[in-house]
Amino acid sequence: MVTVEQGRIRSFFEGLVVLAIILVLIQTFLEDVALIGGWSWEVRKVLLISGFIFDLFFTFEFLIRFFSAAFRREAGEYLLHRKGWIDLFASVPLLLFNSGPLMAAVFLGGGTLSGLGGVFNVLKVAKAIRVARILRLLRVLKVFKKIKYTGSAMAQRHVALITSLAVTVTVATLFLCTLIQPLLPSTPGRAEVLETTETRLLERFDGTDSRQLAEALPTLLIIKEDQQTLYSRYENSYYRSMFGPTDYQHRRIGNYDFFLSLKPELVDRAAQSLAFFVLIVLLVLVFLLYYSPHFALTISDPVHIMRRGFAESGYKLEVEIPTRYRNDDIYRLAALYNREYLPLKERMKHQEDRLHSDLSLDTIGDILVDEE
Amino acid sequence: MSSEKEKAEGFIRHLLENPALRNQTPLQKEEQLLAFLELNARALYPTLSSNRFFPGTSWAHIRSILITELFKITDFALKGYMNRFIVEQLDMSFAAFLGMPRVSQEEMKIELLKLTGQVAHTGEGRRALTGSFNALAYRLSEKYIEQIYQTRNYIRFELEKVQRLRMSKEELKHMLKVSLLLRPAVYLVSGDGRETSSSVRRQRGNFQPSVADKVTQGLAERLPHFPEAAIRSGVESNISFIDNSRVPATGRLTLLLSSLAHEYKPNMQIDRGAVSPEKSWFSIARKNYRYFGYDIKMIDELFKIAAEQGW
Repeated sequence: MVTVEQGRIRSFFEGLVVLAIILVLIQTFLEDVALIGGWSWEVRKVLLISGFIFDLFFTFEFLIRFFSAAFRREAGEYLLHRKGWIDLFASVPLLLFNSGPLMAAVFLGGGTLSGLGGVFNVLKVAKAIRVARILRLLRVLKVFKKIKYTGSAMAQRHVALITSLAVTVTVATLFLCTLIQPLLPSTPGRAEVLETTETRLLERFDGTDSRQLAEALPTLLIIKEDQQTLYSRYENSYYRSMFGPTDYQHRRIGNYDFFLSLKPELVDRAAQSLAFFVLIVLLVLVFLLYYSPHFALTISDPVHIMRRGFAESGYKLEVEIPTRYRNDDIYRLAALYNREYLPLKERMKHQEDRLHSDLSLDTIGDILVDEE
Repeated sequence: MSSEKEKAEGFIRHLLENPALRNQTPLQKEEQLLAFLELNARALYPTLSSNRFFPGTSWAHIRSILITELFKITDFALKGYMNRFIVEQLDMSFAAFLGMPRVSQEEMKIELLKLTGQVAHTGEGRRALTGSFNALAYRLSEKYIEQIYQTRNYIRFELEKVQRLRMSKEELKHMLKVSLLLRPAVYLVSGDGRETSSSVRRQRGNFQPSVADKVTQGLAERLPHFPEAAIRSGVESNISFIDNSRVPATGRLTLLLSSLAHEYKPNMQIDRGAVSPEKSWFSIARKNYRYFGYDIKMIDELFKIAAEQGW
C-alpha cells in the first residue's frame, strides 16, 4: 500500500530522473559538438565531469531500482518488462568503461602522459559503449504521453515497443560493429596507413630538421630531447587552454619524446557519434510525432469510440471511416458497428424504454461520502 | 414538512448543478434526474434515509418528495421559457396562408400557452415535449430550414409543391415551431395527469391515421383560432410515414427534428475519429427509418446537410 507521502516522493524522484535523462542527452550532444567546434578544454572538462556525475547518478538509480525489485522478488520482471535492461546498459558499463576512465585520465593531469596511450585504447571501446546513453531516450517516452493523439494506453505501449526495438537494434548494431571491426581481418584502412606513415616519419627523425617533420606531420605538437624542447607548434598557454589529457598521445622513439595531437581522430569519431545521435533522435521523433498519431487515428481511436458505444447507453456517435483505410480490419469492424450495432441499440432502447443518465454516483460523491 | 421540502429541493438543485448536465434544457435535466434516481435507488437510499435528509422514510416516499420538487423546479423554468418563446418570439402570421387571414395572434398564443401547460402535466406528453422543446431551444428548425431552402431539393419540393406551403421561409420556420409544440398534444386526448400508464405509452406506437383524425378534431376544439393544417401537422407527426404516405411534409420534418432533439447535447465533446453528432444521428435514423416511420428521402437530405455543415 503506497501512502500519499510515498507517492509524492516517488513522483518527485521520477520527475528528477526524467529531467536528468533530458539533461544527459543534451550533455552527450554537446560533448560531441564541443570536440567538433574546437571548444576550450575547460568547457569540455565541465561536460566530461557532468557526464561522469550523470553516469554515477544513473548507476545509483539502477542499483536502487534493481535491489528494490529484487527485494520484492521482481528482479526479472524489472529487467525484462519494465525497461530495467535499459537502466542497466545505460548506467553501469558507462560508468566503468566510459566516464570513469575519462575522469581518471582528466585527474591524472597533463604531466603524467605515459599511461595515456593505454587509456586511449580503453576510450576506443568506451566510445562504442557511449552510444548506450542514447538508450535513455527510451526512458523519456512516457513524457510524450501528454502529446496529442497518444492518450490511449494501447497506443503508448505499441509506439513505445516499436521505438524501443528500432533504437535498440540501431544502438546494438553500432555497438557490435565498433567492437568487432578491429578484430576482423581486412586491408589497412586510412587510419592504419596514416599511423604507419607517422611512425616511419618519427623513426627517421635525427634531430636536425624538426620544422620539416612538423610540416609533414600536422598532428605533431612537441618534440623533446632530454627534457629540452626542440620544437613546439603552439605556445604553452594554448596547450593549457585547448588540450586535455585525452587529446594527445606521447611516443618515445630513440632519445626523442614526441607529443601528437589526437584531435583529428577524436573529431572524426565525434562527428560519427553525432550523426548516430541525430539519427536515433530523428527515429524516435518520427515514431512519436508521425507513427504515434497514425496509430492512434487508425487503431485506438476507432476502438475507443466503439468501446464507448458498447459501454454507454447514451453514446451513439458513429466511427468515421476513411476511404483509404476502409478495408482495414478495424474499419471493417467499425462499419459493422455503424451499420448493425448502433441502429439495433437505438431500436432496443426505444423498445425497452431503457433508462440512461449522464449523472453518475461518482459525480455526487460529496453527498454520499459521509454515509459510507 | 417544510423542512422535508427544503431538503428535497436542496438535494435536487445540487444534482441539477452537476457539470454533467450543463447546457441541457430543463426537461432534459428532469429526464436525466428521473433516470438517475431510478437507476441508483439502492445506492442513494442509505444517504437519503439518514438523519441529514429523511430519516426513517421509505424509498417510495423519498422518491415522491424528490420528484415533486423536481417537477416544480422544471415547471418554473419551463413556464418561463414558454411564456417568453410563445409570447415574444413566435410569429403566427403563417396562419394567414393556411386560410385564416383575420385570426388574432394573441388568441392563438394564449391557446397554445394553455395547451403546452396542459401537455406538460401529462406523463407521456411531458416526455414527448422534451424533443419538441429541445428542438426549439436549440433552434434546430431554424438552421435546417435555412439549409433546406438553399439546397432546393426533395424537402423544399415536398413543402412547396406537394403540401403547397407557398409562404416565406421565416413563416415556414414558425409553422414548424408550432407543429413541434403541437406534436405532444396527442397525449392530451387520453391524458390523465402526470401518470405514465402503460396504456398511454402503447398508444404512441400504435397511432393510426383514423385516431389522428379524431385527435385533430379534439385539438381543434381546444385551439379554435388555429388553422387545421397546423394542428394536423403536429398530430400526424406521430404517424409512421411507412403506414401513411399522406403525412404532410411539415409533420415528417417535425418528427425528425423532435426525435433528433430528444437527446441532443449542444457543445458535446466529439471524440477524435467519430462522426459528428447530427450526422451520426441521421445515419442511424436512415437504417431505422422503417422502425420509426421516418421519411427516408428527408433523412438523406438532412444527413447531407449535417455532413456538409459539420453538424
